[in-house]
Amino acid sequence: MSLLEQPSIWDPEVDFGTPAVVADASVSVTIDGRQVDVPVGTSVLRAATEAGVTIPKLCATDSLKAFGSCRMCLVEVDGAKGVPASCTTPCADGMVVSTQTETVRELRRNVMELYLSDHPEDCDGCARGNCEIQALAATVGSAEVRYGRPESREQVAHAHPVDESNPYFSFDSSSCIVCSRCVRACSDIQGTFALTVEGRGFDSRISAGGSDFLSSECVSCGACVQACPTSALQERSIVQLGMPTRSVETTCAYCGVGCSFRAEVSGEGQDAQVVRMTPSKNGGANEGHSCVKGRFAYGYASHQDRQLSPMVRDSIDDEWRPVSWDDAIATVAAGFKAIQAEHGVGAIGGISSSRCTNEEVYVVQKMVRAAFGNNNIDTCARVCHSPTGYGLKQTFGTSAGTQDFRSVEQADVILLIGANPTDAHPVFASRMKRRLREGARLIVADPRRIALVRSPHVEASYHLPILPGSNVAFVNAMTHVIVSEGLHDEEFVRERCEDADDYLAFIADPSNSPEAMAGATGVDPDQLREAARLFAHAGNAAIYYGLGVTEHSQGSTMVMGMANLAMVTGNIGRSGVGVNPLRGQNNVQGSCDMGSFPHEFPGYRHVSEAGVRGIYEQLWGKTLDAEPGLRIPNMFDSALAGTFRGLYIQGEDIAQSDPNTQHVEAALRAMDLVVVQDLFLNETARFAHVFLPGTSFLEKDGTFTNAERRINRVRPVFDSKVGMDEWEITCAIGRAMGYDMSYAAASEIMDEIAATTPTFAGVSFARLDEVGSMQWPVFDNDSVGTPIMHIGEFVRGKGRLIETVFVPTTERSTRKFPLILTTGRILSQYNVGAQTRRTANNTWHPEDVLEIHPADAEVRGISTGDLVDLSSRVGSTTLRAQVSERMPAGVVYTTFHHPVTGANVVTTENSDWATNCPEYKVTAVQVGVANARGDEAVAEAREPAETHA
Amino acid sequence: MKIAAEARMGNDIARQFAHLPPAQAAEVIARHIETFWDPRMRRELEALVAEGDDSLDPLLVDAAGRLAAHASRSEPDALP
Amino acid sequence: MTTPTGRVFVPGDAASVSVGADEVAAAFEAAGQPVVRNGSRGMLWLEPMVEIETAAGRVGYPNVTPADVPEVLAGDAPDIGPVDEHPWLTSQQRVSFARVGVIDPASITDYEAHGGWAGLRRALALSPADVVQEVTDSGLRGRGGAGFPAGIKWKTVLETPADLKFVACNVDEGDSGTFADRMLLEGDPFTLIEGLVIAAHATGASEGYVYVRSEYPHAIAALRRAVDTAYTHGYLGRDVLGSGLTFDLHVRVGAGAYICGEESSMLESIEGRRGEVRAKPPIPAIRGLWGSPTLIHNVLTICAVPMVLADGGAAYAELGTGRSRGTQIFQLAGNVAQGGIVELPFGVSLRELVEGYAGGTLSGRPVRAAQLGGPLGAYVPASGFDVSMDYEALAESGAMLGHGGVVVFDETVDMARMARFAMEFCSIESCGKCTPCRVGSTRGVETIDRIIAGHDVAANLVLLDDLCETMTKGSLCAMGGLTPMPVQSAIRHFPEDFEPQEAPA
Repeated sequence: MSLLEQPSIWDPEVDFGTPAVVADASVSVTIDGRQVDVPVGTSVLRAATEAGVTIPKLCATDSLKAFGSCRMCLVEVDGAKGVPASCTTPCADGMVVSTQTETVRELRRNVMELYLSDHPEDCDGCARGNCEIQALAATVGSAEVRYGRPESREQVAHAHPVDESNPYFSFDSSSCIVCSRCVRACSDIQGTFALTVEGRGFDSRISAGGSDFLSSECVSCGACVQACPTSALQERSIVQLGMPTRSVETTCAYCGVGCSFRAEVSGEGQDAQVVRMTPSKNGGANEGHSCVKGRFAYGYASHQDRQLSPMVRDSIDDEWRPVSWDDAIATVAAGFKAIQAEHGVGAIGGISSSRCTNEEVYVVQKMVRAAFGNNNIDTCARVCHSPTGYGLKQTFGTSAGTQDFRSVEQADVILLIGANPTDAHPVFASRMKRRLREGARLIVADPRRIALVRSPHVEASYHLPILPGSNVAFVNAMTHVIVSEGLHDEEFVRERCEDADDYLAFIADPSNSPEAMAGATGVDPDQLREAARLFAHAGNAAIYYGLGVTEHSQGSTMVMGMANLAMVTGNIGRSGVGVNPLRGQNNVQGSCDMGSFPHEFPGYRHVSEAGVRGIYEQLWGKTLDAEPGLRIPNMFDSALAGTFRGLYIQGEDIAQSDPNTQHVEAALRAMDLVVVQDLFLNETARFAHVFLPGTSFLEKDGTFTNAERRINRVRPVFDSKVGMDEWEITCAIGRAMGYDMSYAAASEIMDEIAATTPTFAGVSFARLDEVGSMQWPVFDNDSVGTPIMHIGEFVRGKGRLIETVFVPTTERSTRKFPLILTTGRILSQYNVGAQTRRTANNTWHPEDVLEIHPADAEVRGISTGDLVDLSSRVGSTTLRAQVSERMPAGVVYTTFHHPVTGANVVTTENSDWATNCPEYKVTAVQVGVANARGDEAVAEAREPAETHA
Repeated sequence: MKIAAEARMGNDIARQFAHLPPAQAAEVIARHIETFWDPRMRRELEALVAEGDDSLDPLLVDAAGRLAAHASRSEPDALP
Repeated sequence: MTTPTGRVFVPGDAASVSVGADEVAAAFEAAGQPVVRNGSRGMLWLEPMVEIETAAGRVGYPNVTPADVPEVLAGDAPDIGPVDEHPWLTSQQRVSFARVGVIDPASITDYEAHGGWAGLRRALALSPADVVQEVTDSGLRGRGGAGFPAGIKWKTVLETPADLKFVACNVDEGDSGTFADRMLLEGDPFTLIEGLVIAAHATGASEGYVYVRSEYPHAIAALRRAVDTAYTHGYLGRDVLGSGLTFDLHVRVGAGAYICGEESSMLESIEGRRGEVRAKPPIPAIRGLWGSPTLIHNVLTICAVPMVLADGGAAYAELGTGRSRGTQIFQLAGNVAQGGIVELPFGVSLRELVEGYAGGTLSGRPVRAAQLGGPLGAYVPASGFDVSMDYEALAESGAMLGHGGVVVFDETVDMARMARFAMEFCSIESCGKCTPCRVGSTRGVETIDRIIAGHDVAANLVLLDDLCETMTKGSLCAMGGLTPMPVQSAIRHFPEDFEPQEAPA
């Protein structure tokens, strides 16, 4: 079979026409004399493609359910009347199909003639090769168009101006064949329902809800562009740069979903340019889907703001001086060594980045532990998901989510808490929405009325608007209802959990009832009880959560509380259930796995374990510290105390992203040597003495690990623009400090990880290249990983039920600061915005706004668009207000994508008790119209972020 | 008066275990601090206790007395 | 002036209202005489026809205007005698329409008094499988046009395991010249409810949807009123008549698309999407509304069910001919002297309907053709009027029964223009999904225009034939698949209308 013939460069993946079917039984069919066995329910079209028989098609594509509209794939079936469409006809055992009879050939010619009768002869896509019409017309033998054919795009029946409102793609209806692939992609894959067909009959045309694309509900995920068989919807980059000439499989560097992409490139060497990013159908995390960031917002990698040369300066008040790599690295090494000589081994440390590869992170922690000789290594996961690591390790035995993303397809009830996936994890949100449209029930626990509470064809069964800071009260009340009403899974609790009696007695105590907790949670007890019953009665109930869980004073407690809820209801250890953290950054799971925490080696093994230390001491040839080092906030405190004076920061902008900006800036100023390694001169670089240019994901060779523990390959599209790979930079610093660490290639780093970390034992670049991706644990070379964890037994043996006492945060609203501020993300921007702000994504979110409930706005005289002062006990900032019914009264909300907003100027030093993850989600604030300064003065101070397409 | 970071963080931990019998709570708090705190922070905590800092939770004070002895690798003279 | 002895009936039926029934009713009210707004008896040429209850029966006063009201009340107006004895009605065999025009459609007691709920009560005493057997035994076939055996559909839904099942009734009656669905809903809405509750019991459905076109405001109002009343009286909702059956019924209003008369488009519309045909398989009986098994029928099919259950399937099956069992509701329209509803067992000849019941043309000119089964049905020339009106005989003659509409044309009709109309109708009402229908219909109009204009007639007739073949074989649903039927039947029976009239200028 030669089914893997590549039809053309722009769609090198074979399109089987209809989605693959999973079935126990198979049927055997004969198509044009070729026999093929396929699972029951497989379409004739797919079976034919698998058999190597090509049937012409236009409306069918294997990412979408069969639609049956184009009538090109008609076939004849022995013994059946008519000419059924092969896409909508399931194979039956013994079926004999003919795809090239004179009847169907004539029908196809005649149908194509109808298409051509309204398709312009000057279609630029037909000429370029990204419109299928002309080629298919030749295939089916349509020569003459007896109805006449428009010569130019102006002559088609319904000529409309090209819609160029979206910065990344355009819509030219003159090439459109109204196959609805875009509409179906928007509804079935993305789940946004922004596109429709308007009009009837010959007047039917694709419409973005009656307006242009940008003004519509469109979220610019690009699924429609990908689905379009003509050039009606096409990336502007295709027009600007022409068709790609080669492609590289790699992994997105935005959120923790970790989508696989095919970077399609033209040009070689220094001239190489990404023409477009196309999500890979065989990507385990995304299965062919993407969002506006991953597909389109890659332009930052070649943005003019990128610093390509190392720079140094003696004082942070001096100008930067570009220097050679050797000079820069020598400066760093000399500075760190001098600090250690004067202030001790523990006076310096490093921060690794969740944006970097596993290999890059691994060498940073190795440099700190072996070359610096201490454990002062932390990662930006500290400020997002460190409670996940702590809580799940305590309860289940491993610091990771329990499921793969696909698991959601089996969930019957989904509890979504402290997460807003349609903005922050859009590709996973689309999967979740698909399951919800199939009938799964949804419980949303969130102060805000997030989009999933109600959006087209999705409606939550319950929205429980819990007050910020009351998560533990909420989850305890949920579990209380289930246990006190006898709805828990007694067998699971008895057989698979420990400390059950104590926990059940604790949780059944009336102090944990929804009624007793209502004061804290603000949730109607009856609603909560009904939601708890729904959760308990589900065949498969799954918990999905985000930073709204972790970034609290009881973040770790809440993670354990959710683990308790899952265990008590027996929802662990199979598909469709589990406790699922939606990770923030592309490699936050990986950076934690790679030993970035000051108390743990790779694989979450404590530094005090002599056996584990021995492995590394032997391999690295150094005696290693058995005591935990400083966490990021501890580094700041110690810097101000004078015991911590040098810091290497890889790819994190702590001055913008960490809480209590004044405190962070004071700590940075107090240090003798701050080294920033980043793509851009970020906010932290203002306090740096050495700047080392980093590489973008398009230049990296390595791996990212996503929220489902999936290790994906990152492959370079072009060479490092700064002359070195990031892991080489780190190694060079280590060597300059007197510790010999070097690798010939990134793959050798993974080999070292595999050799020293049992859960990665079977991982190597070679194996990943072979199988695509693997989910750890991968205990040996026979394993392809572990999609679902804790089947039959928890990693720690028995699951531990831990009493999760609700302890209210000390951060409370007061007369002076009567509102509670909580923070989050928006779809088009990403975290501190270093990347997305340097793309056309600014079209959608040019500035951060403060969302405020109408009642809170009214008493303060605030209208949408007003500039307002936002102040807390630690600081104040100014931003624009948006009056929003999505907010509950008493709670305000903002994003932190733009440095000018300075949202962290107001956040406090409060943190999770167990991990010091900042309590970003609860800050007592006051809001008032920015009267002191005139609107114009403030506006001037707030220069709009630069946009760059 | 500004509360020391170690006092604030230690009190946060102590408040989580206030429901346990005091001796048990102090033990749990001590083990947590040993597992996760850099030695210089533990030293600072012990110093606060020695000073009689009245912002410290009594459970934290009890826990501080139960901390295991530790190496002083952060001292200037402790270079490897 | 004497006061009538009994009730006064002024139809509230939309057809009657369109010729002044509301004004007539108002005039009675103004004169102090309360009226019952009944349905229409279906003798539309007599509307507004007022009926007055007398010892001799309900006497009919045809074509009443407000000015006639005092005379009618005085018994001085011309009448047609007792309506029940009118030969146009007595010669019919009214089963589904037995109560239409007779009862007060707003009165559930009137409904019960005229035999209502008897079918439901018997059905609830039977097992679902036994009810399905009765329907199977009756030989009832889908009245929406396709004529699929109802019993098979019911059995499929019953035997498809699912937690949730639906029944749905299509009242998107969009065929030109058809109005039986509307008249039934306006004149006897409880029959539909009763039929649906029986269907729910028989198939295991717990929810039902009635999809009514927005152009039928009177029918929507009548149905909604009846649904509310049925809930109040325990015929809908939890524990119907103490049987344990839970059945909720929703009324949904369409948005003006002809295609939603096609069952899968209706499902899309009910689900909140654009009315667009779904490819089959899967059939709705297995995966219908929101993916659940769904029993879908036209109004006339559902409204036959109460009688089937009340009197038994065998009684219903005694009517009709061949494999077409029971009665058919014919709707006579177009250029006819006497338009209206004729319910008869299958097997009556078209000639009897057109020349007998319809009384020939209104214009008085000779009949040239009749179009059967709506705008997608075939034109039958007057020479072919002896055909038996049943599914098989019509199919054999290249025509179809469809929803039972008969639209009559006299000798002045230009059949080339009628062929063009068929294509034009399709080009406007096609859902736009499949290419043969979406693009083909417009190309059909253009091609026929060229033929009418005398351009390249021979070549364009070949092209039109190719196009008709492509649409017939290649279309996704019956809309595009049947549009060629009127076109090709016009060409076949009336070729002279497609010949060049004169040399083009």
